[in-house]
Amino acid sequence: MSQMWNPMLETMDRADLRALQVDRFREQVRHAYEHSPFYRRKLDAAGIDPDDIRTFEDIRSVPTTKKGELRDAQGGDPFPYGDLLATSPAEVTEYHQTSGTTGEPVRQADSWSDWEWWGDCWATVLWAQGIRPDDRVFFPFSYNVFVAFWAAHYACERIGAEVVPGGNLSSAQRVRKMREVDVTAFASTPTYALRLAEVAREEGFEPTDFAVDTVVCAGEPGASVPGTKARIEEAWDADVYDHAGATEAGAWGFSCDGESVGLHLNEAQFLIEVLDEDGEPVDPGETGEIVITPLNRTAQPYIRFELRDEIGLRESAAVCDCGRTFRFAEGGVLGRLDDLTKVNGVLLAPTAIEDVVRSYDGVSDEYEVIIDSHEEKPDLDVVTVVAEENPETGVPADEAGEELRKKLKQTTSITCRVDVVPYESLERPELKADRLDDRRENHV
Amino acid sequence: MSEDVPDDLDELRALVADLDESAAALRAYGEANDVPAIERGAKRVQGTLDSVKQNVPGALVRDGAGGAGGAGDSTDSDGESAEEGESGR
Repeated sequence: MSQMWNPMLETMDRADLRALQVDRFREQVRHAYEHSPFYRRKLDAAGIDPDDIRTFEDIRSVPTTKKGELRDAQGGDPFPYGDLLATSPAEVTEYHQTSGTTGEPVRQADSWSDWEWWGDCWATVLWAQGIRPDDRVFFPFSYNVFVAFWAAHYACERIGAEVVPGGNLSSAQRVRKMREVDVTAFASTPTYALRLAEVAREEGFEPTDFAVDTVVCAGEPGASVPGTKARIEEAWDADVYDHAGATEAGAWGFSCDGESVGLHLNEAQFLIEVLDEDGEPVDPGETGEIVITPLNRTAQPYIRFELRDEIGLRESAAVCDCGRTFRFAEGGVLGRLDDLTKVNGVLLAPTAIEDVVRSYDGVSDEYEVIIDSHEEKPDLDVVTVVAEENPETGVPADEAGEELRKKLKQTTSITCRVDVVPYESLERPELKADRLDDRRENHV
Repeated sequence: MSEDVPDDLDELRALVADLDESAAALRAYGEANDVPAIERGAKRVQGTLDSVKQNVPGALVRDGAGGAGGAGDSTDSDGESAEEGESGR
């Protein structure tokens, strides 16, 4: 059986793939122009005629879309999507919204066709990650207005796998259910995958004894951070995979069985531009910001949406050892641009700290990063990493703190304060973790 | 395996087109005869069929003037040179 959901698309010759992307982008822009008042205004203001889009240079002449614009355009008639809606309200079958961590939530309309597309994109992810009809897949999330794992649930149905919905259960109830029905796979954030293992042990079980052999992670970077991936693999004795997506964009990135740790970009369903600060494409081996266009979305399309995620393209242009011709983001999503910050002039990526903490077994899984101004020298930034003792290794707090300080300095070039606190002192998030607390006033 | 398995993309596209036509006809029947079970079911099939269509590579339109991703078009860069595109196989 194929290791790919659609080998025709996933191994497509790059030249053909790029031609397909331009064609579909043009159709998507035409659809948005004809049916979305927001995009009609935007494209008219930029003097864009969809029929003139023939090359990637033409694509780059189309203005990008910022999240703030989406917020401003929604809310009016037809309520609640306003000018973003590109179909009749009667065609909308799914409502979701973003988490609102960066401002007012963006409301997302999807038609039945869009929802099928969501499921198909997720099926591409899950099939690549080994989910098959004989799997029993557990979804320990609360099934609410955030798109989260909804589409993954339906992708499992599409694949023919058995779905065990794990909503409205405590973490303890979830691990008991996983053990009771012998789930072979589950999907969660990396934070929660570690938390479930912790809870399993608290309940008197050994998670490596569960039937789980696949963990699909999404919702935050982590499963492409080597230290975190290794911790989850060890905790569950399972293969761990990563996925990247967003309510606005869709399920655009997925890890494979190849040698490298990172994400393939689903370039058959998305036009994914990786751009530098000047809006120019970066070369292989370089990092840049994702600007994304879902290529088959009708109810609420996005044209060149600034995702605010940073990725680094694999240097080699050779086909991945998994056989896919889709480009590859080494290390997955390196960070949200909104989370990347400078500390005393040095760029700090939260995932770099995550890798150091999770690669050191002297501390446990949870940690926090606090950035503040120095008490006596307000122009100086101070980074404090708060980690927990690890009862399994028993490394004394002061020794663990010193070791972490050294490793953080080596990796980030930043001298961090480290506080190692007793085990279970820190919060245990159930979904995404927001570990960065920037307390500097007026910091840009 | 069925002997009727198509072996080229044109046949696949034709099969998808047939399904599309059948779904549209069923939907029209459901609407005309006020049978929501058929009309809504056929509409759902059409939406599902869209995702199948998206998985059958369409006939590519290659514009000779400033061609889209043409292998020899080294000026149409998206962080990939034409040479890289060709070596990506």
